[in-house]
Amino acid sequence: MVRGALTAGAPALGAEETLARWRRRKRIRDAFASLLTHLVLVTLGFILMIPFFWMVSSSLKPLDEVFLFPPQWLPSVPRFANYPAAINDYFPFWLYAFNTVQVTLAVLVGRVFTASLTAYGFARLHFRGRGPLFILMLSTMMVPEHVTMIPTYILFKHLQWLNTYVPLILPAYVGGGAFSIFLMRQFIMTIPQELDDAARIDGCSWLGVYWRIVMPLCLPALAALAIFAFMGTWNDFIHPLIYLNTPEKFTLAIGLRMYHLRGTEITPWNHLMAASIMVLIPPLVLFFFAQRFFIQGVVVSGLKG
Amino acid sequence: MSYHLRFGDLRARSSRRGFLTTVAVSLLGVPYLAACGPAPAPTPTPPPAPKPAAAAPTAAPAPKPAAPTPTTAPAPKPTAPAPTAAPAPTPTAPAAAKAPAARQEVTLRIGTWWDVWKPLIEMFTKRHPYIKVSYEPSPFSGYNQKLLTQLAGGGAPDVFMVSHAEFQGVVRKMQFWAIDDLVARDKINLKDFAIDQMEYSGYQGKIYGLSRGMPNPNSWLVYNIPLFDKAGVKLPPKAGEGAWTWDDWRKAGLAITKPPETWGSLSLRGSNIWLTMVLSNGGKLYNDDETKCLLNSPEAIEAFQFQVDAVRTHKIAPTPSEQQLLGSVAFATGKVGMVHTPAAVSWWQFKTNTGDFKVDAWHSPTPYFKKRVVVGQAHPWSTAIHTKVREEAWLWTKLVAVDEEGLDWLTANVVIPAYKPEYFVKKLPDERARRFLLEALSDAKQINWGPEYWGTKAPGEVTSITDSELDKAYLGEKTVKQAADDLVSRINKVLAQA
Repeated sequence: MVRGALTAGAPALGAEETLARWRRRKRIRDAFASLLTHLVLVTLGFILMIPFFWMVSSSLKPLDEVFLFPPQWLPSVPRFANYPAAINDYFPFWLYAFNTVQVTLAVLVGRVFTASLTAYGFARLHFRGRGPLFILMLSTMMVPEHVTMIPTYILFKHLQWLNTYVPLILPAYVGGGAFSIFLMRQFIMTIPQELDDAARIDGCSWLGVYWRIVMPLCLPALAALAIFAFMGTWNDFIHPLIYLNTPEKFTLAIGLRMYHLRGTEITPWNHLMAASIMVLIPPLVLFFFAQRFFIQGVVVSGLKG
Repeated sequence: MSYHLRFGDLRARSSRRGFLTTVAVSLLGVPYLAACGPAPAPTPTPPPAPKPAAAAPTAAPAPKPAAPTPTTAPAPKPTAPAPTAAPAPTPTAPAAAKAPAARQEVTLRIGTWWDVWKPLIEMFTKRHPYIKVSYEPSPFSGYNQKLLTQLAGGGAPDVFMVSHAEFQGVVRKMQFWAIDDLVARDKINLKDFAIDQMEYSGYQGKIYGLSRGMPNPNSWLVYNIPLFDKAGVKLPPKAGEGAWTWDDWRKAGLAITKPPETWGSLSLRGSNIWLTMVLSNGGKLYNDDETKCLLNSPEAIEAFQFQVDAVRTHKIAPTPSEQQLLGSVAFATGKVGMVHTPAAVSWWQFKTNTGDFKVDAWHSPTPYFKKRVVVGQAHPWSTAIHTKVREEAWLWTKLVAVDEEGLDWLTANVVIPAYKPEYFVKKLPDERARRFLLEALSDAKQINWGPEYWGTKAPGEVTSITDSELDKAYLGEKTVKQAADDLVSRINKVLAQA
């Protein structure tokens, strides 16, 4: 009836011709919408790339070109010597890189295993107090880090773990934090319980179900968790700052704050930018190859790491 | 099907292979964590023979009339009492120095935010071989947070530099040793310091540290000579020959400013500058008992208005956002006529701020309104209350604060020492540096160092609140009066809670 009303009074057109015209218009509309979307996204993409571009450009400038006003987007003569200077002149870059890799990998392994195990317990095992315990665990996310900093520091001091990597690594081996557990638990809840049931009926233990059934199906979430752990630890400044004292144990995040001209608060921005790019490369490469998992992690948990 | 975990369930259904795998994985992790843990206590090395008193830094030349007290021979192993759980701010003095037969190696932790002290540490360990130094530099950003956490947790270095802006706030928490007894024992005359140590490192009549250098006036004026010549502006007076008024400064700025090619000055924005201006205009930061902020007084508002007008009305200086883009080294591009820097008491810092003399520049004292006032920072070295090596911490403090050889190095490399500054500056081999620093010193003697810095209750918050409110006036979001009223209201709340 609607169709009839629309065509009433119009010159009689064949159904096929009407359909073809409608399809043509739709194609044009879709193409236009797609063009508009891409235009907006590309523009936003470029805007978001400006800081990164500025960073790369500054890393190749002499210091007095970095803050020229109005800004000079490209270096007059690219100065690649900034990179060796950034690596060699301020702190032992490769030692700090090694320290950072060491801590990051250790945290990554610990968080992936213990968070998934804890999450499995919360998702699959029924025990008295599970709900309140889960809420209690989640509530730790609401406590600001700074509130617990001094008590935690005192704890590690009494354990004589200051100026070691243990305070940075150990927390990853006791559950890995509320966010990680929450992320994994949400993902495990989406896995059909029937798979567990079948394994249990076949005689598989609880740990067997976790290891043989749940873990393989959780690979996307584990990848997301690993990326979050990597990013968080790689860029962490405050914990290494508080717990590490001697320079030979510092990580890159601390090193990046040490780009000051001798004894001043003046920063050689060109060298700092060069170092920042070097430090950025591993997370960037990781994100490039694993962005699907990263985004999936955000979608599953509704949170950003 | 619903699972209910029961006692023994896990055990009953775990396979032996699974159990062994779990144990193996756990065991693999143990060595790693152990490797990350603290190193085992070092085997005590044979204690070196005590250094005879005659071997004390004889490297120092025979003192001229104004020569400082040389560091005495290494004192014996400390007998300082271990502080109790609720330590008193002024622990009793260590037992009188008695040279022990032998010294055990001790470790002294030294905390700083500048990684420039290695040559002094080498000098120190050479002089005191029984002291092993654990050098703990940190980035400046985050240093205070780290130090406060360490002090609260009892894990601070034994001796450390304290930001002057934070000193009064921290000393109230009774985390430092008072050193009056050591100062008296080693006959250090505090009057030989060019700045009052009680004011800069004291609290309630006790001294809690010694200043390493002269206060660093962040509002010192550095000017670009070619730009002044080009604009036909007379150069500001040299240090020791008076100073410009802020009105002179504005006239010069207007003559030089031709944006975007040249700016008369970089922004006056910044805590050290506004406080200097307010005090110079007859204003005050707080009332006498530090319960009320007075930054909305007519004198303070007039000073703030001057700063804001320089940017918004006269456009002598860039806006805060333009300033951020320019950065503090913008002066080195040669496009800025004047800059206010902390360069006055440090030759190398002056060179750094001016792009190592790419720009032909010299310095002049801070301009003033009604009276000349400068506020400055003189960061003290203090000793943690929980230290077990108080005597060694004191040896280090003396090296960086009153020792001949130490201060020679400090003058040439870091800052004019607060202790007998002229004596050390005159020994500098570089003629230009000598002239530069003596000029700065001659002026420093004439000026009235701000009697109050940021106060004692919440210095960090006061500066950040004021800066943020003044930025709104800079951006035109508030009038200066509104910004002043708002910042006073916010600061008063902080003072009430402190």
